[in-house]
Formats: sequence, structure tokens, C-alpha cells
Amino acid sequence: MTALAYGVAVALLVLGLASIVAGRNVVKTLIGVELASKGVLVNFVATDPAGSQGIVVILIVIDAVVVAVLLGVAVAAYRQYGTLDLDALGRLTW
Amino acid sequence: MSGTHLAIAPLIALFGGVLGAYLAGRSTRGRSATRPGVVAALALVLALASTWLLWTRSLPIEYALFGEGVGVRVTALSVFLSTIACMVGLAVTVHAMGSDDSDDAADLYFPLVLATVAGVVGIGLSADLFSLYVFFEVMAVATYALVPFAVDRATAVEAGLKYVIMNAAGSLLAIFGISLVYAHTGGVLDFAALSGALTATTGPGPLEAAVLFLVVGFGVKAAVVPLHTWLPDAYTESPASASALLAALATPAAIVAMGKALSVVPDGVSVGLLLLVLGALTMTVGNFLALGQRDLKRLLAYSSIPHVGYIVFGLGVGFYGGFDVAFDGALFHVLANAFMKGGAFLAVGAIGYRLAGVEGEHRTLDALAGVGYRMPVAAGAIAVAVLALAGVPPLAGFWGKLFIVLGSAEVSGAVGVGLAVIVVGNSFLSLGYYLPVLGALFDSPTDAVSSLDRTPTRLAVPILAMTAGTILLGLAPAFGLDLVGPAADVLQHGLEVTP
Repeated sequence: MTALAYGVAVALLVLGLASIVAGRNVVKTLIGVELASKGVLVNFVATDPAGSQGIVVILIVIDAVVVAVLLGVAVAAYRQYGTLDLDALGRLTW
Repeated sequence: MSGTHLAIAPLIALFGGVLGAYLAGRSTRGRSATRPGVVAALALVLALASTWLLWTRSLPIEYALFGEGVGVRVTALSVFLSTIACMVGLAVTVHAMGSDDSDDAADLYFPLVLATVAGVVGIGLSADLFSLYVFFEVMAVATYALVPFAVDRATAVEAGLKYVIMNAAGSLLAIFGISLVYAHTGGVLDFAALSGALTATTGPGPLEAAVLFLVVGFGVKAAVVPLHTWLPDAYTESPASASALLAALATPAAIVAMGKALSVVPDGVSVGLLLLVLGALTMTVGNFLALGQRDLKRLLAYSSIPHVGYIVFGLGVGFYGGFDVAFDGALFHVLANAFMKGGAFLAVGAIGYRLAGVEGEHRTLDALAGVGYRMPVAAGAIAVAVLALAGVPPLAGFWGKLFIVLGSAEVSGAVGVGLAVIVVGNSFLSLGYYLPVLGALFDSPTDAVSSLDRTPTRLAVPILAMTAGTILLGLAPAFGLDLVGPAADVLQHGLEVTP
């Protein structure tokens, strides 16, 4: 059972990272960040369901803050460029 | 009042300052930067004073948050990070009060600066791996908002987006590594118990994976090559005082966080070798990238990468062979880097502030020719900082590099000589882009430059303070070593509480 949970955690992390790396749209990147962070949560809960409660709650709060900031920057980018496509931003060299 | 409550005094002062500076900014008509700036500076002075009080007590001090378990452990490393963070924060705050960095939103700018400082202080104070991550995130999130602070400038927003996406992914890798450690030890994260718990467990497989996740995760924020690509844009596009905060504080603090997390890993896992290779790669690639730059702020941004490399390399040599002198060198370079990079970026900000009203582009070395005759304080500060960064004795940057070279030379045989040659060779390589800066600053002035006013006094004060730090730390490294030595011991010998 625990092995299955660890498998799910790794799968979520890989899916999330793949979405961050491959996603052209900022919103897809954001979904990737969320998926990967859920993988982390599964890993903590699978190890010690009772003892990790505090850690998990704090991590959920941190996730919310990071996503809020990322959305804020995405909105600012949309106002400047009129698009959410990462490939279309290109005034700086990547 | 027992000594234990003092342990969280710096954090209380700083987080109180975050709230206070915000309220002061909101209650000011006309969005003037003076009142929030003064509140922020007061909070930083209070935090610095309480850090000094902690330094005079016998360390380590443990403090249990909410009366349960260990939340905070004050060690020499905490005092070291806290001192650097508060000094850099103070210089940045004074500079931002005198310039237009806060961009009509002083109620947000100063709280973000304080939150970054608080995050770094917390990295030093954290007693377990999870709270280390939490404070690392506090620092990271505050800088996510500082980089694209000028939201009306398209390039700043783009640099910010790139910075946030890369570092959010990096943070996820770091916390995944921590969750692997948690799974491996069955729920132990406290630094004092972790070292023993990790040695007792069998099978290094998951632990090696966790080390990789931690190195890569913290490495993104620390701009270790090949994870550095966000750095040049973020440093160039953020407001001048925010660049100084990032370069002098946030990035080196991420390396210290990485070192603190890795200090509990038992000897069986070759952490040292990994850091050595990454450090050598980082300084060499960083130096070559900086060689072709003509934009002064971008050149300084690129030159931050090799300095990250020196620190990582120093930690790598230290972990590899357990040499005291390499740990000393790495942390001394963190201290020196704060003064050198802080002074350089603040001075570039002062020049930019004076040139803001002038027509045409004014960031390349050609456009800045001769600025040294019109703004001697700012250009002189850049000259001192650049020489110190190149490692010219007797300035601050020389000693850190010397200790790292001495540490590498202790590795036996030809390998040790080779490692030392890599560091020395990179120092000479860096002169290739630092010397043109000196040449340009004191060239014959261009028309735009020759009508400039002198450095404004309010900007000159923090710049001169940083420059004085660079020179004094170089002339009397013993003062720095008093602070660095015990901190390096904590990093080297683990964070167990010795009764």
C-alpha cells in the first residue's frame, strides 16, 4: 500500500515537471506546479499519516501563496504582451 | 526575561517590521517612501541588535515554538547569516528610500525587502529540514514579487515570469528531496537527530536520490550552472536595490541553505565530489559567459555566477576532505560577496538614477564612459568592488578565494594542485571582463555623461558603507573570521547540540 502511494507521488511529480518543462501556456505551467506539489504531499502523508499533518497544512498554504504570485505575474505579462504563450514572449533571450 | 525568548527576537522584529512598514506606507499621503523606509530600517536595526545580543550568549540556544518540540536553534551559523542579512537589508533600505526603486508602491516594496531578510535569518535559525524549507520559501516568494516590481515594463515582467517559473519548479524539487529524507528516516527531520538517523538506516539508494533532489532544488535558486539561466535577466531587470538584495543576500543564502541541508548526509554519499564538479563548472562557465558582456548591470549579473561557483566549490572541497579551511573560505566568501556585490549593484543603481532623465540608452560601458569624473563616489565604489571581485589583495574578495585555494591544495596529489589551479585560473580569467569596466568608467566622458550631477547623498551613504566593508574586511580579515570560523564549524561538524 505504501509502495503504491510512493509510486503515485513520483508519478505526480514527473507529470507536473513534464507539464512545467513542455507547457507553452503559462496556465499549463501553473497546473504543472500544482500537480508536482501534490506529489510531495502524497509522499509526506504516505510516510506518516498522523505525524505529517502540520507539515502538509503548511505546505498547502505555501502552495497557495506561490500560485497566487505566479498568477499575478502571469496577469502582468498578459497586460504587457497580450498573450499567455511563453514562446511569444521574447524580448529577453532565454 | 530568560535568554530563550531572545532566540526569536530577530524574527519578531523583522516580521513586525513587514506589517509596520506596510501600515506606514498605507497611512502616508502621496505614497512617499520615507515613512515605510524608516520603519523598515528601525526593524532591521532592532534585528541586528538582538542578533548581537544572541552572539554574546553561549550558543547554541534552543527555543520551542508554542511550547512543543524544537522550533528554533540559534547557532553560530544563525548569527552569521542574520548579521549579513540585516546589514545588506539596511543598506538596501536606505538606498531605496533615496531612489525611485519603490515605484510609487513603497507600502509593498519595503515589506518585501524585510520578508527577504527574514527568510534568510530564518534559514539560519531553523532547527529542522522542514522549517529550513519554509523560511527558504519565505525568502523566495518575497523575491518573486521584487523582480517584476516595475509591472509596467514588459522586460521586467518577462524576467519575473521566467524567474518565478524556474524557481517554483526548483523549490518543488527541494521539498520532494526533503520528503524523501522524511520517508527514508521514517519521520525524523530535526538536524540534531537526522545525522544519526541517516547513518543508522541501510541502503543508500533513496538517500542518494534525496541528495540529488536537494542539490538541484536549492541549486536553481543558487544559480548553479546549468540552472542559472534566470539569473542575468532577473538581476538586470529588477530595481537596483532589489538586484543588490538578490546578488548580495538571496543567492548566497540559498547555497548556505543547501550546505546546511547536506551537512547531515553521512560520509558514504559523495556529496563533496558532486559539489566540487558543479562548483568548477559554475565558475568556469560563468566567467566565459561574462566575458562578452558590454551592459554594465548585465556584466555584474553574469559575474555573480562564478562567485556562486567559488562558494559551492569551497563547500565541495570541505565536504570532500573535511578541511576546515575550505569551509572557512566558502563562508568568508559569502560575507565578502555581500559587501562587494551589494556595493557594486547599489552604485550602478545610483548611476542609473542620475541618468534616468537623459536621452538614449545608458547601460552599456560605452555610454557610461567617463562617469568616474562626474560621479566619483559611485564609480569609485564600482572600481573597488570590481577589483575585490577579481580577488586583488588586500580587498575582501581575496581572502575567501585564498582559503578555498588552500583547502583545495590540501587534497592530496595532482588532483589538489589541479583544483587550486582551477580557482586561481578563474580569478585571472575574470580580470578579462573586470578591467574593461575600470577602463570605461575613467575614459574620456561622453556628452551625456559630462553634464551629470554628483551622486546624491542619500544614495552615497549605503554605497560608501558597503565599500568601506569591502576594504576593511580585506585589510583586517580577522574580524570576519571571528564570525565565519564558528559558523563554518557548525556547518562542518553538524548541528548536534553539544552540552
